[in-house]
This record gives sequence, C-alpha cells and structure tokens, in this order.
Amino acid sequence: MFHSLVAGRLVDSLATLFLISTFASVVARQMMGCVYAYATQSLLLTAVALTLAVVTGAPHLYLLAGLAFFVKALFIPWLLKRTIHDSVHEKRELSFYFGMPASLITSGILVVVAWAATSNLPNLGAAALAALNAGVGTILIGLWTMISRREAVPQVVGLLCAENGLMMAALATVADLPLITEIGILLDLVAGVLIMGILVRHMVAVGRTTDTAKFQRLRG
Amino acid sequence: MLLAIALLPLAAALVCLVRPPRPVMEGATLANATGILVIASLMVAGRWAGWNLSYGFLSADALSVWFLFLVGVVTFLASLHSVGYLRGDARHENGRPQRYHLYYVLWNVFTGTMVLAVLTRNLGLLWIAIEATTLASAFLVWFHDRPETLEAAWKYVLLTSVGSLLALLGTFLVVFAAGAPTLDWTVLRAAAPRMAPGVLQLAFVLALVGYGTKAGYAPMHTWLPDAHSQAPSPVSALLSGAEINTAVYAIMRFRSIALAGLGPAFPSRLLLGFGLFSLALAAFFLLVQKDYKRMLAYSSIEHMGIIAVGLSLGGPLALAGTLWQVFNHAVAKATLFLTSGNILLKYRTSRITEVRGVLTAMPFSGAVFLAGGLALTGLPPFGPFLSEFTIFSAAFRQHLVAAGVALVLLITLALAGLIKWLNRMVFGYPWEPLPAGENNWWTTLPLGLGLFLVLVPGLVWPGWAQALAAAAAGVMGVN
Repeated sequence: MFHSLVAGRLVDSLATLFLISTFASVVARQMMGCVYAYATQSLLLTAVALTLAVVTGAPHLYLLAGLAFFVKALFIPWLLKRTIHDSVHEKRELSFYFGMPASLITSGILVVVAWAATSNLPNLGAAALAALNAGVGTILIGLWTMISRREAVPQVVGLLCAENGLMMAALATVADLPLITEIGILLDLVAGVLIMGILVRHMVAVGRTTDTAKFQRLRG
Repeated sequence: MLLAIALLPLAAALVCLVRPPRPVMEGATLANATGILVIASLMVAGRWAGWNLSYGFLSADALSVWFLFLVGVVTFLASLHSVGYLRGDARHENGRPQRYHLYYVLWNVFTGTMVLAVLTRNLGLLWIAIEATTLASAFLVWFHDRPETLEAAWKYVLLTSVGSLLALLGTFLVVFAAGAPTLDWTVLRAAAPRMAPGVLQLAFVLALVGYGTKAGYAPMHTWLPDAHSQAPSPVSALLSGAEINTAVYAIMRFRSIALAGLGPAFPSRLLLGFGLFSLALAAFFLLVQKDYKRMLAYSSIEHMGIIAVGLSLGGPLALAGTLWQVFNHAVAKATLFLTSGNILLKYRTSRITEVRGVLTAMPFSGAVFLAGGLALTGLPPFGPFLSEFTIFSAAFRQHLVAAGVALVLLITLALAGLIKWLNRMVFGYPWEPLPAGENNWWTTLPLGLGLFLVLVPGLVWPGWAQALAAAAAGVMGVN
C-alpha cells in the first residue's frame, strides 16, 4: 500500500514536471533549446514508465522504458542536433507566427481544456489522471507549437512533443498493450524523424532557410 | 497465401536495394505487382471460407479482400506505367541513376505497406502500416527534385503525421474503453456495447479526424492536392487510387466499432458532415483549377466525400454502392493520373491552359483521358455512374431527401468543373506542333486495361463480386 502510494505521488510529480518541460519547448527561443526541452521531456516519460514498471513488475514496461530512453531521450535528440548543426545556424533566434506571450497564454488555456476533457473519464486513479492530464495537455500544446512556429525544426519538435504526450496518456490508460505495437510505433517515429531531417537539409540547400513560410508556392 | 503476399513486396524491395541494372529492378517491380494481383484475385475467388483467412498477425475477411483486390489492380496498372514513365522521364531530364534505385525500392515498400494495412485485424498494426505508407511514399512525392515537390513532401509528412497521432490516440481510447489489453478489432467490436459512451464518442471522433486527414477529408485535406499533384504520375496513381483508400478502410473499421457501441446516429452524422463539406469544397476548387494534376487531386477529395456520405447512410444498398464507389474511383483515378503522366511527358507542363489538342497529339491517351474524365464526373456508361446512382437512391429510399439532393447538386457542380477543363485540353490542336504518337508501350497498355475496368462495373456487377460486396457490408455492419 505504502509502496503504491509513494509511486502514485512520484508519477504525479513526474507528470507535472513533464508538463513543465512542454512549456519549456514553447518558450525556447533558440533551435537547440527546443531539442533539449524535448530530450528532458523524453527522460521524464522514461521515468514514469520505469516507475510503473517497478510498481507492477511487468517486464514489458521495463523494456518500454529502456526503448523510450535510448530512442527518444538519446537517439532522436542526437539526430535533430546533427540536422541542425549540418544545416542551420543553431543559435539563431527563431521566428514565430504568434509571439511568446500569446503562445504561453494559449498553452495555459489548452492545459485547462485537457483537464476538462479528461477529468470525467471513468475508472482512473488520481496518479493516472494526473499523467493523462499532462499527456493530453502536451498533445494539444505540441500541435499548437506546430502552428505557431514558422521554422521546420521546431515544428518537428512540436510533433515529437505531441507524440510524447500521447505515450504519456497511453501509459496512464492502456499501459498493458503488447510490446510489439509500441516497437512498431517507435520504428515509425524514428523513420519519420529521419525523413523529416533529410527534407529539412534539402530545404536549406534549396532555399537557404528552414522557414517554412518561404515554401508556399503551392496554392489553390 | 497471406504470408506470401506480405513478403513479396519486401523481396522485390530487397532485390532493388542491391542496385541491380534497371531491367532487373523493373522485372522485380512487375513481378511484385503481378504477384499481388494474382494472390488478391485468388483470395477474391476463395469464397469457400467466407473469405476468412488468418496467419499469425495477418488476417483477412471479406472487407479486407475487397480492398486488397483494388490495391492489387491499382498497383499492377501503376507498376506497368512506372516502367515506361521512368524511361520517358530519363530521356527528358538526364536522370540520376541513384534516384531510380531509390524509386524502385520505395515503390515496392510502399505497395507492401498498403497490402499490410488491409490485411490485419489488429488496430495497432493497422496504424503502423498506414503511417508507414506515408513514410515510404514521402520521398516518392519528392522524386522530381524541385522546391515545389519538397514543399509538397514536407506538408505531406508533417500534416498526415498529425492526423496519425490523433488516430493513434483514438485507437488507445477504444482500448481503454474496452478495459482489456487487446487491439484485435473483432474483440473490440464485441466489447463495444459495454464501453462508456462518452469515451467511445471521443475515440471515434479522433479516429475519424485522424484517418480522415489521411483520406483527404476537408478541412484536413490541405496536403493532398500538393502531394498528389507534385508526385511523379505513377506515384500519384498509387496515392490517389490506393493509399487514401487504406485510410477509408480504417475509417470503416472504426465506424463498425462506433456502430456497435453507440448506434447509427452518432457516426452517421459525423460522416455526413465531413462528406458533404469535402464534396462542396472540392466542387468549388474544381471550378477554378489551373493545373490538371491538381484537378485530379481535388476530384479525389470529391470522391472521398461521396464515399463518406455513402458510409453515413449505412443501409445494405448504400454500403454496396459505397464499396463499388471505392473500387470505381480507385481504378478511374489511377487510370487518369497515369494518362496525365503521358500528357506531362509529351507537353512538359501541368498547366491546363498550355495543353490543347491531346486527342490529336496522342489519340489513345487523349481518348482515355476524355472517357476516364467523363467516368469520374459520374456519367454513364461507366462504373462511377452506377455506384453513385446506387448511393443517391439509397439516400432517397431512406427518406434522407436533403442529403440526397445535396449530393446530386454538388456532384453536378463538380461535373461542370471537370468537363470544362477536359473540353479545353482534349480537343483542338496543340499550341505548338508536337511529334504525334504515344510515348511508349509501357505507358499505353495500362490505360487500356484501366479503362476496361472502369467500363465493366458500369455495365454489370457480376454475381461473385456482388456476393463479396454483400459479405464485406456484413463485416462492416449495417445501420
């Protein structure tokens, strides 16, 4: 009992930190800031998976935590960093469609929306609910980031954050899914990031920019 | 059989991966396409077991077989055309060989992911396969290395990934609502009546919006005209003829779960809304189109709208019409995109105003373009006429007069747009004298085959196909 109580508190705190790391990706002004925010967020996701693994003793959750750590906290940030380093001036200030204050206020509203949408779901404990709130909130904020940022790499990071949020929500609700599904999802994710990385590099080669607003010839 | 059809594309891709000379890659690709079509035909013929097959995580029922067959047909036509198109293309823009290797590798992987998507009852695997169709085809969209194709590929990957994310959330919510750790569609559908309605509603909305993004439902369609028009024409044929139908297949599966848990009202209303909105938007853009490949892409959005409306009606007659509409649109659209590739190779432009007199420059392609275009508008004696007519009559028979009238009006509007541009392109004489004649046999043969397959379902729905359609409608669940 005590064991699960501590675990519940731990998951609760980790979920809060997870949401804070999402906000960090919203306010990051430089390209690498977004990537570090994503790596931190992935670490927190790993920690939640690991906590659940210890509590339930399910071996596939240990594996899941390991995979999340290596793929999301190490490999993908490394890949993004390499893409940025090869192609884009990494310390440059990023351009937004919407300013920072507007983005922060919107993100705050989205967290409330996520809370309203999830708080009346049946059959969930307090800790699972906290994780679900953080997860759904992160999905919404990630998608918002994709809209509000003009540049390609932060848009990809927005998508990746949303995917982390999805995995957090999945841990809260359907943690006992077959591992093979999770591996397939991770493979798709890695392939997607690789493809987007190559496209970004070619954007730089073609247009000397990663500003997607410069690539808007196709209309109507 | 299931294992063979799943492994065949992989084998072909591996052959192309070792960078053999071009004829070997062409041979492997054609062998793959032929194999898929032959096995799919065998499975269509396999009515002794009610079309049910299962092997490991692969499984098929009547609905899978229906979609597998159309994926097989479209893959076969487009693979034949690919060979000729790439040869013609290489002559024009001193082609770089490494890009051709990549093309054939990804082409075969792409066909494999589509086969996998329709051959599984596991919703997780279904999601993985559909996301993989995007990833395999992203570089194919970008094949002609230009800023426009890069933009199209970027939008394609990014926006459909957002859609996939929502679809995955919807999938997880269904599993959560079922309260059992399974992704098996049959189990989930059986558990649907016991699911909390609020959770299931949210899950269905997410799955519909998510997979609807991939299917090109408005307003999530914005990537589709770009990707489908910028890709090389045989790839466009696969994207518009086969790939978006795998998303329709996923929507059909989720509709069944929602139907079992919530009753017909909720899913039908949503599908009707998305369907009519997509139709209206596509009809408008068809009227003002300047580029003939974009025109075909908007026509795909129009047909996805018709299919969504048919699905929302959900009676036995409407479902039969919808399944035929899926098949007819797939074949007609693939044929037209392949023809547009021939026109593109000849005229070197995709602007409607710069193309005139296709019928004089390329009599066969011109005739197919005209006939196939008329088929797409829904005129007799072609397949889409009969299936669209079936959907109309189902709407009126179910006393959904407003939906039926809206459907007829919007399709007529789209028809006006399509005919206007077809007329301008096909007749008259080219602006500048062009060497008369087709590009080569490879780009000509699939047009004839495709047109034949568009014509047949306009004249007769064979009994065996009717039986398969009825069984597939049974799998989907009737309103």
